[in-house]
Amino acid sequence: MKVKFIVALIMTIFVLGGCAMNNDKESKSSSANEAKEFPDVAAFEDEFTREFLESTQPTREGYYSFLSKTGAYKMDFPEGMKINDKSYSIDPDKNSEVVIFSSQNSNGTFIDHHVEYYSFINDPQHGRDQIEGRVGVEIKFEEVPSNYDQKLEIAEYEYENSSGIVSLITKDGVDGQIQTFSSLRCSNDVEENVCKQQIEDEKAEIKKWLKSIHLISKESE
Amino acid sequence: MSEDIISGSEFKTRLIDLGYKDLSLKELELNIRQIYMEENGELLEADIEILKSSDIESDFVKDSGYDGIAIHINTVEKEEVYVISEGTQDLPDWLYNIKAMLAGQTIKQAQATDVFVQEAKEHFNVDDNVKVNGLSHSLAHNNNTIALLSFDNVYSVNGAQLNYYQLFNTDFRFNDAVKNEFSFNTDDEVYNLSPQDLHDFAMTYYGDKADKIDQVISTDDPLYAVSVVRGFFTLGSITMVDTNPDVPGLRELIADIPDDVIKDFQELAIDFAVASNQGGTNEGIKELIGIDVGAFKDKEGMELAGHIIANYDTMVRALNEKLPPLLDRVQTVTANSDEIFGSLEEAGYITERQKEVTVDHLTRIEKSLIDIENILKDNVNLRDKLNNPFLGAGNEIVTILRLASNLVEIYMSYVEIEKTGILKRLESIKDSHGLQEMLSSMSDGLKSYIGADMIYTSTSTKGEPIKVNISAALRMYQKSIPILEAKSTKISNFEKAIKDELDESYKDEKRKVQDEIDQVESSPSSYRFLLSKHGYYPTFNKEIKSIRVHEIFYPLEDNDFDEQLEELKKSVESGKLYIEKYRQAIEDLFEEEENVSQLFDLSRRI
Repeated sequence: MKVKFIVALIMTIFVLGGCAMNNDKESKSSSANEAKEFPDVAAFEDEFTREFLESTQPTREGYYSFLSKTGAYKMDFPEGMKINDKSYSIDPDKNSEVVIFSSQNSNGTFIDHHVEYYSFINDPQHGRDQIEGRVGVEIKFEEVPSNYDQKLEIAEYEYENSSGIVSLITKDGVDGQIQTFSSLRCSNDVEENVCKQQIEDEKAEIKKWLKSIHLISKESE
Repeated sequence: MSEDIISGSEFKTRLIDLGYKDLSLKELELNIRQIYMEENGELLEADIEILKSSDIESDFVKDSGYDGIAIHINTVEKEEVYVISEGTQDLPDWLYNIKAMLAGQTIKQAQATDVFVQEAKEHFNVDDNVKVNGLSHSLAHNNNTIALLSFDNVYSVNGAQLNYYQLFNTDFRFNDAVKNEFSFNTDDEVYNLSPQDLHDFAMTYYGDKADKIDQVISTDDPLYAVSVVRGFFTLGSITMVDTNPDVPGLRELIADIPDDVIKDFQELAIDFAVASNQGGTNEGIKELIGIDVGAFKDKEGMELAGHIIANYDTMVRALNEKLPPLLDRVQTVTANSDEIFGSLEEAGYITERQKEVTVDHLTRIEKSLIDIENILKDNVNLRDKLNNPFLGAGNEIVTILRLASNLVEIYMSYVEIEKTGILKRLESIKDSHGLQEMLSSMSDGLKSYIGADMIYTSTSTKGEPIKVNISAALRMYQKSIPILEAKSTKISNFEKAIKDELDESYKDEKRKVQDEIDQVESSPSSYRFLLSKHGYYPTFNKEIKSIRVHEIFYPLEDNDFDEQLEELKKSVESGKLYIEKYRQAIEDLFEEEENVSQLFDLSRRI
């Protein structure tokens, strides 16, 4: 029986040829070498964050082009920040994606951005309610002009030791929406007045940054 | 605050169970009324409106994976909404959710739950003053409690617990409070905190929410057992129930095993359990190694070789993909197999022999997996070197032979493990996560449950107590009457048909003949032509003065169905009698104050 087994195997091998097993992974050259070619900023130093960045050419000073893994949106990514792979999540059917990124070294202000995409939430009112629910204080959304053909609504809130800016991005004719949450806080050693000023400056910068987030309509892909 | 319309663990659990059945809106409503009547001994005098998540926007369920039912109950004095969340049913989505939840990541399902609740409130046109109650099982508990803002309270059975990393990323006030408490500045630092400190802080922080959450948990629930790992905290008023008294529950066993070992075992177990839940043990194995070992069954020698060769390509591809993560996890498990299977044995989940065979064969499987990994590696390296996918038959032969012999070894080990019956033993663990085992252990006086049916136990007779499935009895009683009535209608239709088709048409025909006769008799002159055969010449002057018909109508025969009709009618009567006797027999088993009689009466009015 054993002999037959082997004969059958050998016979079949010629039929099969070499068609089996061809998913060799592309061999990656050592990342240490590659890293040298990247801009010397926190975003590119982190391997996980790098996976999202489309180009080493900045889109404007301090920002690089980011493409979400769902392919649902693009935005400018701040060079001094890093995506936390532990809290990153994307569902298997690419219907939702949560990206959380934080400042790495700071001049006294620390920022966390949460950019969350949901393909199944369409109603802007639902989005606004959810955002308000999650920040837990009453907020007022204001529509601001966006760089793209979409609707950008922004609201601000204050906690005792930190402040935040949230936004909702929707687009007529495109399913889904983006909800963003940015929180800002000063380190303990910063004086209150200085902190206030820094936060104000950063807020202005964040408002500018929010305009770079844009939903990609599936048709235009 | 006055009592909710739907109260009691049993009622709520049965309602959650209802959510898993694929019922139409009408069926759902009837079932809700039925359960209400059984549990409360009175009819639910209220309007019921129901919305299924599948009935809102077309892509919502498909994209979000959320499956739920919202029920709006309006008794005029009181209005409430109940939302039954089933979590996810789709397999990959379920896996994603539970893994992401274990890692403290996903809030997708909570967001989806929230959208559904909002949609439901709009659909029912209720404002924020109307109480919204969340009912959930398993994963849905996690979603419902995260989405607690949408709910006034949450009741859950065997729920997946809250995870404080998940909440840190979801609830920004909590996020802020944690940063203040532990003096750090950015989100990624949260993973550096001591899990115990974070756990304790979360418990205190969310303390005030605890009274909005009611949970019933089986001590044997595997999901409860795994929530001992870092990240989870159990919030709310908890009722622990030992649903499987034969075993002590897994949680204590798991508490002794290191965190990362649990994680690996957990993932193996989740993959295996979920896949085998869908397609049996073979499907479970297939999920793990990517190969359908079930197809090896009953094959040996040539046939087995033929099968392996025929599927060689698919197998290698599947192995290549599934192997590395599997090997990692298997190695963690084998490295700790004495602890894991030792404590399972100690606790009585498995026998000593089952333990020994399993540990032995797991080690062999590990060896084979390492072998396979090396073979695949060599093969790939060689291809790289030669830069040629056609490696030459010689090399492929060796590869195939080595792979095949390892696969056969794995399969043999699997067969040996399976033979011990350990997999079947472990499957009973899964039952402890279900609603029905929970319901079965809920009993209140003479009331208990089998499946989702309510059981009454009679003690009024001497000897062994008699258990009566009241739900089934009521269903039979309720449904028999419409059936008997339908039969009755058919019988009278039949009776009418006999009358129409036989009696009436006989009369009809008779009348037609009589009309003809009358016509002939009343105008005899018009029948003069009948005399024509007697001649036509001019002197002919005979005429007909009168015609008399001497008619005889024979009566219609064989048209008497009275006897048969009587028989049929009797069968309906005896059917009714039988049902009433059956009802009486059940009533007699119970005391009057147990109101069984009333339940029968009410069941007719639903």
